[in-house]
Amino acid sequence: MLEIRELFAWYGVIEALHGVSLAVQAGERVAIIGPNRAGKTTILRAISGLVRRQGARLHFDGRDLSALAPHLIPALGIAHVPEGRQVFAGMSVEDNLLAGAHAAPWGSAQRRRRLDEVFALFARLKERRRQASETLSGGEQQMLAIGRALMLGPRLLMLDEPSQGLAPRAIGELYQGLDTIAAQGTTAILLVEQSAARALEFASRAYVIENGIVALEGPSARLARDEAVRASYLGI
Amino acid sequence: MALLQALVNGVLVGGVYALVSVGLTLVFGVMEIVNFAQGEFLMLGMYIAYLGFVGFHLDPLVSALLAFGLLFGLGMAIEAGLVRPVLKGSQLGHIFLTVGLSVALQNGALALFGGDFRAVQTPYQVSALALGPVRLSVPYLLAFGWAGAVSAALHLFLTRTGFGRAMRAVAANSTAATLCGVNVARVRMVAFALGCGLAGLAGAVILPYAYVFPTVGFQYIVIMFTVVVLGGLGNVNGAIAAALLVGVVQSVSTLFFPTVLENLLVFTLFVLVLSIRPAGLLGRAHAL
Ligand SMILES: Nc1ncnc2c1ncn2[C@@H]1O[C@H](COP(=O)(O)OP(=O)(O)OP(=O)(O)O)[C@@H](O)[C@H]1O
Ligand SMILES: [Mg+2]
Repeated sequence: MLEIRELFAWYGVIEALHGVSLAVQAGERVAIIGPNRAGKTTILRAISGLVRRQGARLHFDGRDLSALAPHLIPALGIAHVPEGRQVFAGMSVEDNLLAGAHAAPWGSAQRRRRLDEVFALFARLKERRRQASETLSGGEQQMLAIGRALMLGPRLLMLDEPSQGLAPRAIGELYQGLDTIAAQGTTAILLVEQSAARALEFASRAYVIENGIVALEGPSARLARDEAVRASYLGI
Repeated sequence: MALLQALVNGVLVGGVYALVSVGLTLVFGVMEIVNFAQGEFLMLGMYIAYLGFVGFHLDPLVSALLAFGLLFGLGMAIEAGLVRPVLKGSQLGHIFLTVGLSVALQNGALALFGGDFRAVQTPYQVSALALGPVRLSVPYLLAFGWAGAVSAALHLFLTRTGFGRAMRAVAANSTAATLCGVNVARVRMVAFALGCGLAGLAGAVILPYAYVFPTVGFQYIVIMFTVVVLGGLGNVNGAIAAALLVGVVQSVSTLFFPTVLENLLVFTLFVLVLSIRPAGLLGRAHAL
């Protein structure tokens, strides 16, 4: 579904990705782990077209992403929950979610249905649907950011450090939600996490990114047993 | 009694200030740029209504729609042709651009219309309604009606339509808006055009009681900035509240001070409010 080969990305003249290759199959759970400033966020930003990038191949369902303006990418079925949540402050929970469906070609009935699906997944959002989004707790804001990303019914959901800054209980709730989404089988998940243990537990495959390249890749279970991974990322 | 009359006048004038200022705050909220030519778009709106009146006997309150449409179109062209390319270079470039635009439009108007003060004579120019002891000036009342209608329409647009919601989303976080599939460039173009169109509409609406001349925009730009900053930069509701407050303070102050000092109290209030609430009355909006 998502195929990336030899992907490069730049901030100004500084090259941040030096030829990353990765793939995500339909319905798969894939994790990206790695140290600070390795380029994890940049990979997601490159897929979404938020940074200048070039790749030997950057395709989603056979379509070349590099030929598209960034705002056309969500409608293809790629949702991106950015680092730091970035909910629309000053807008209610419901308006945030509806904004997530902005690119939807369908009528408002289906929009309502999506809204109901998100509310079913995160009941807390339904209770607070009229509340201004910036007054939500961190965990609720993360749910909102994910809910907003689900409003287009994506086939690939990319999450950038969703557990960052959350209390353990909120993280538990969050991953329960992600499990539910993944279990439906229609949405693949590409998860960037600092806490490698949790990411490897969630995903079936993982990539270890270091200095803008893929240092290691493989099934999560195998990476979790890898000496180098255990020493660097699992603190064992 | 004089106080009640002053309050009513203040509210009427304040409503018009809101109409004049709302475009500036909208553009700031969405684009984070200050359009220093906003006063000149108001001036153009006044001239459009003036020409409509002189040439076609159109009431300025009707030409207001025409002024809105023409300046909306001009705004689109200016955004796409000038603002967008300049912002690619540096965010500060817009200051030079819009100040330059302001000078160019003033001189263009001077070349076309000369420096004379011009006015229109409407049948309702000097009429007033008596409401108990209070007199309501008809031209002010009509302008206030337009201001109320525009505020309501803008509110509905921003809260009830998909495009309006996208505009608020861009104001709050343009990157996240892109990730929702919002064409940010188009939203910015429409926001800028709306700002110009609303200024033009306001110009037409005030023509029944105000003179038009090439530098008339300067008279209003001071009020616009006061209102926009006082309301919390980029906050539409805040600007409306601040406009009403400024109108009332100005009007009431004329009971105690000579008219030339009507802005003394306004600026005192301005400094006071900002020293207590640096982000303005309702705070800096994140989403208009
Ligand atoms: N906006 C930017 N401008 C310039 N350089 C940037 C920018 N964002 C990231 N970089 C650089 O690109 C490289 C990769 O950063 P990136 O944010 O992708 O790392 P990351 O793996 O997501 O890190 P973290 O775990 O801290 O989120 C780093 O060297 C970083 O300094
Ligand atoms: Mg990151």
